[in-house]
Amino acid sequence: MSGKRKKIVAFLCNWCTYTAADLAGTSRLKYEPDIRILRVMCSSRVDPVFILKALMDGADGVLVGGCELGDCHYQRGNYYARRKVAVAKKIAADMGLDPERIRLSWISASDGPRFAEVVNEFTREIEEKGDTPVKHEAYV
Amino acid sequence: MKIAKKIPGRNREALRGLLESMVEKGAAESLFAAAANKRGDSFSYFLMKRGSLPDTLEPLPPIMSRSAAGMLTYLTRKGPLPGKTLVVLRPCELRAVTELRKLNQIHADNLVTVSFDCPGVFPLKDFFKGKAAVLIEQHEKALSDGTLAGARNVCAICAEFTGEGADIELGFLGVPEGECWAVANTEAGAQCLGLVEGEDVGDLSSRDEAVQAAKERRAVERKQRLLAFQQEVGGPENIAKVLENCLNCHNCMRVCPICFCQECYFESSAFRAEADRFLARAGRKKGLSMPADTLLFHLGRMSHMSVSCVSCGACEDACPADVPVSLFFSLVGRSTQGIFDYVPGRDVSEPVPYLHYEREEFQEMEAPYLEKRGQD
Repeated sequence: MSGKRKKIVAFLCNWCTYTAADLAGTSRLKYEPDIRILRVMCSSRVDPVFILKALMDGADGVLVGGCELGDCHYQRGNYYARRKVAVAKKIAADMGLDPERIRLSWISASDGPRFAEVVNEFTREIEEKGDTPVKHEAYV
Repeated sequence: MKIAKKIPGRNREALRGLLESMVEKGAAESLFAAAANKRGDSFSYFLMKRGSLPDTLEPLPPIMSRSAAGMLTYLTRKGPLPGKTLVVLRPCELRAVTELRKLNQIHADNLVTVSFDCPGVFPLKDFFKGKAAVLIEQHEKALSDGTLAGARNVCAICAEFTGEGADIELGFLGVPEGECWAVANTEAGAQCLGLVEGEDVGDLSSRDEAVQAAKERRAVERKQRLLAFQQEVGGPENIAKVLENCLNCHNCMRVCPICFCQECYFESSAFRAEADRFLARAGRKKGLSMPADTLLFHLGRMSHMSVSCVSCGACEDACPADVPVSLFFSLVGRSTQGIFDYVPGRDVSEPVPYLHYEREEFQEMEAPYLEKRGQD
């Protein structure tokens, strides 16, 4: 990896993706450090506002991680999360922000390696896109 | 079940007469409709009981001071109204009531809704600045021909301006001069309307044609206006330009019938932070406009309520800074509702997108990670 590090905000669900991140750590897997993790109890806790706030404030990317469909700790949370991400992407696009800076991935608790791969892959994508244009701009 | 009656009188006079006689004949215990305030040139919704109806009843005011849907939330918060109540609603208010019923914010038991062909209303500020008598007369004329010059932004491009979802629908368009047609769309409506004397309308086709033509015209205007607005506000800089006059007063949220939360997230402590946090943002962003997060407030409302936005325009009437909030929400609403093929207020049995999901949908939202790995 070259150049300046990006800022990627990651909302990870407590039961799966966050646990996978934990596993990646305890397994000593290496992944790109551009990511800033926030633990939420369920991916459906991620209000589209959180995603938009991160992007408006200059995050280069936002990752939402949840359990595999059908495996949600709360039965249905990730189905709702998917709808919320759809809305966030739509509003972002309407506002002229790149919706591809928002990523939704399902990573189960036992899949530490996959967590590392997703982070690396997303970081690579964001690096290709470069800095978000709103990073240094003052918006109301 | 569908009955239609001729009601004599010019538009607002006809509706007033119909309501009064329905209440008098015992169709309902109470009435929730607009009436003139004491000063005579402004209007509010009033809750009225049989036997004590005021003589200032004005069910078709040329302004919408507050959305009736929001007031019905307030009124039925602790339970339904005890007796049958006739509620006069503009088509947009009716759609908002439908949305709020889905969200369990209105107890609709005992409500009998009455709606009508709405030509739109004047912006509050224009009405209060202008000559009331002149504007009321203009509005009366517009009821018959369907177009109101000087109407609010969203009214001018409203394509859902009839009361077809109501229990009783009043038609002014395409009906002979000096009368209006009352159509009962439901059993509850038919029970009320059945008590009123009036000649049956045999053939409704002249109204249907007039409504259809007006709808098509408005739909084209809506599309064009929203497209023009979209070009005006495309891109973050342009959005900021449109919204930077915003005072962050939250009036739009307070008058919005769909914004029913008891405590708004944007008024919660989530946005309180230490001064050095604000300073850090200011340093990063070439200055931080205060109060901070004004644009985010609008983005937040877009994501929270735009799927249910009925384009009633209450937000813009309440805006002290002339921000075109209602067009903004019509535009964003159209696109967020489009994701789910959802039309707010269409059908009370159609669930609100946030409270519903399908197992197989939006697969394109999930990053295509699995496939990529499969190829390796």
